[in-house]
Amino acid sequence: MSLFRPRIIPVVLIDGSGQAIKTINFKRRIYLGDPVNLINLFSSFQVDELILLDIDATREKRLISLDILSDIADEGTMPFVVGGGIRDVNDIYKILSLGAEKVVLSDVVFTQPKFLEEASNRFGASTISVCINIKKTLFKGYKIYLPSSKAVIDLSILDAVKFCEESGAGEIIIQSVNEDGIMNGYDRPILTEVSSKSIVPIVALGGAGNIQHMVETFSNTHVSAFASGSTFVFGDKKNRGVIVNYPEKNYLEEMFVGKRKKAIV
Amino acid sequence: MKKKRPYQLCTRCLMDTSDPEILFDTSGVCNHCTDFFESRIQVLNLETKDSFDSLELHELIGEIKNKAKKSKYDCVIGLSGGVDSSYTAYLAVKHGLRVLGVHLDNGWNSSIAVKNIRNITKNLGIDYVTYIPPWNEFREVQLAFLEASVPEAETPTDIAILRVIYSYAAKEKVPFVISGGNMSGEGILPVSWHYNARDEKYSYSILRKTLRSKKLYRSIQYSLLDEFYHLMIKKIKTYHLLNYISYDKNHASKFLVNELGWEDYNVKHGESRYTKFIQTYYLYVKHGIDYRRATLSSELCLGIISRENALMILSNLPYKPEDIDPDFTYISKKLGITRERLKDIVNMSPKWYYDYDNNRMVLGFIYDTYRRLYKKKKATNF
Amino acid sequence: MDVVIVDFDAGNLNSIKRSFLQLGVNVIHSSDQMVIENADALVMPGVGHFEVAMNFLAVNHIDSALNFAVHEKKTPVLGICLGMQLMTNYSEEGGVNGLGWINAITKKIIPKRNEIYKVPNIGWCLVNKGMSSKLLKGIDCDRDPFYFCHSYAVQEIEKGSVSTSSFNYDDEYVSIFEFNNIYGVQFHPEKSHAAGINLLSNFLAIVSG
Repeated sequence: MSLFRPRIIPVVLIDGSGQAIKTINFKRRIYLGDPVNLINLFSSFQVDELILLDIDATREKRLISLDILSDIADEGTMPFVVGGGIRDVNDIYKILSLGAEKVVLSDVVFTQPKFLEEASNRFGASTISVCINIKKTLFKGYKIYLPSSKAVIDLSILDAVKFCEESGAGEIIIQSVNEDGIMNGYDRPILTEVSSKSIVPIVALGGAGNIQHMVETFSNTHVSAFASGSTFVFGDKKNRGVIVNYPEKNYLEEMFVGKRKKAIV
Repeated sequence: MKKKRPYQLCTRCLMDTSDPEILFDTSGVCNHCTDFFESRIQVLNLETKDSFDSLELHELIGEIKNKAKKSKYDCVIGLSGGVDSSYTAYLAVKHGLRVLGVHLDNGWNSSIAVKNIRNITKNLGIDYVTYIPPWNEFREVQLAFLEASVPEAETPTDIAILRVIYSYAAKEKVPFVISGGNMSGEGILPVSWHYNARDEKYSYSILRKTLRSKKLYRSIQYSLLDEFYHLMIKKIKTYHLLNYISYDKNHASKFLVNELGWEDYNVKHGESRYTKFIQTYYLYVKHGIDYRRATLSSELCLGIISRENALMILSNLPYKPEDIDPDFTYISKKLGITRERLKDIVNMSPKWYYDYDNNRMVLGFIYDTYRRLYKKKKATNF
Repeated sequence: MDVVIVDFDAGNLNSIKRSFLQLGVNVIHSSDQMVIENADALVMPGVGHFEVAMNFLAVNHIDSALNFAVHEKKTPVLGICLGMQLMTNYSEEGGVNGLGWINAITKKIIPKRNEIYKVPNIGWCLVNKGMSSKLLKGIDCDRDPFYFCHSYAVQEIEKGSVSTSSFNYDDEYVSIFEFNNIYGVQFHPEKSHAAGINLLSNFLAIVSG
């Protein structure tokens, strides 16, 4: 069997001052210190992949700091993915040159609708990840949320996914704003729907607090990869003491290999 | 700057003139082992039963449980991932204490350290909190101490640890702090090698002389006033559990590996790359301080190691030459300076605590008075 | 030993550079014809678009330098991901010809079971070790996966004297080809932890051997 097991991906967020943070519901921020040290630790844990996002960049109309990125790139021997304020192909070129495998495009996919296709044509689909942030409303279902402007878009999630695929996105990260930092598990219903209909890999993000949450979602959906900011920096949901952690490979194999339910497959 | 003395090695322990303040008697025996045998060793209970228990420990546990009845936790323990604090946590839990673990993340944790803290807290079922001082400020304070060329490069971390342990104890209303410090490894430590971190006048003098603002210290500071407040007003008592048993680091390490998923560092102070650099290379190259000398002297006095074996260990370099280049790269980058700048800093001629304003006399007097009043034995460097 | 990483503007030279430095090898990156022709070993990395890369090679005459080095001087060359695909005859990504060093075509991955097998293939996959593979020497392919990130794969390869190792992603595709001094890997050894370092080490052994 070659499809080994899904990717398990720590997410590191940095703010405008280059400090690592963790958010709750995209609002409250918990200070995590020096991102270089976090990434150094994840690298020594040989994580499958790492996502690094500057969550203030787009709003502040700038690119993620290339100095910080360069420091971080030196520490990372694992595949890593970078996002934060990317607006044109030069930005992507600079980030890829520093050693990133892929870039993440978020709000810009919707505010500059032709950019995704341009980027994919220039660099190849497998280098472009799109992050769609979703908010679950009380009566109106899921909406697409743009954190940089706090705007909500009137487009269904499935239509958004289709648009991204047709424009050449290599993978799509579905991030739940409601579950962000809560550590109660992913938003399974939307992930089930999206992953069964998508052509490209879907990455789940938002809500995971432990590996078990990831296994549950893996068993019941076609999600390809599981990302989390909280799981790998906090002890657990109750115990929010910060301690960087990542499971051993043996444990991950044990937990995931062969776990996708037969009904799904 | 004091005049350089001719080299002299103690005839009993292993301390030498790399401590510029060392004193020898007429038989060439130094003040460190003399002090160790006279006063400090009384702190250790030499009639302890074994590595898990003793009568005195039992009594202490009873006292703690009783007095902490109304609190959410019996005690606060600082966790670094190292063998001392990990074994201390184990002992506390084994004897039924409700522990709140406290960890200082100073941005330099090694992967083994974080793994150990996670496994220890998980396997012992300990609640814990982490304090992360603002990295931009902390880094500047570390740089200040390096630029000052003194041996106390670790003071920012040491003081931050004190601050976080006692402020959490006060915040959570926990009446006891249990420290992993112990006589067997730390009984001998010259003041000139590691001047007490609690002297704020000294720290501020260093910041000032390196043209930095005092404000950088605010997120980590722990002053005499803070200590007084925690001790006298909040009535927080501190105990060193490892001094109540027959503590053997090797035995403790093996036990932790087998029972609690703990991993041994392959170098001393492998829990922090910065500490490793400072203690095994920086101090050695700049001040001629070989930290192992102090630890081995304590162990020699306790009969754990022979003079011959200790001297053999000391005849090897404390650091691995192949580690230095990558360490320079990593540490200079973390500190935000160039490699060349770090090299320059290492090559600057050494200074000592007495080259900067300090309150040694005043603080020494205060602590001595306190000990006299409360009939306590001297167990630390003040 | 002068290892030259061919810079055809297709991203990510840094990581492969660092991997070689870790192995103690002097490595530079260059788009210069002379440098490429004089190298002891060549690495063609690649994260990007086939057509864009081939254009760059042509416009800067890197293709002729490479052809000379690889076919006349028999310089060992390792192609990674896009770099490997460029060595084939043709790619559907852009619908243009490649360097034609290996008789094969680069085609889009189109799995039958797309629900399970999404495209691009991004993630860690085990490789099926080909019998005569020199690059995989000493690597436990049943246990250590490599990191893949691609939408296109080398297919329809004319085996002959080309040694191949495959990998499975619903169907079977080429993960490695080895033909005389020409080596290509679909995955990223520079990001595949110990297995990747071992593979690069094996390549270096081939170069010096």
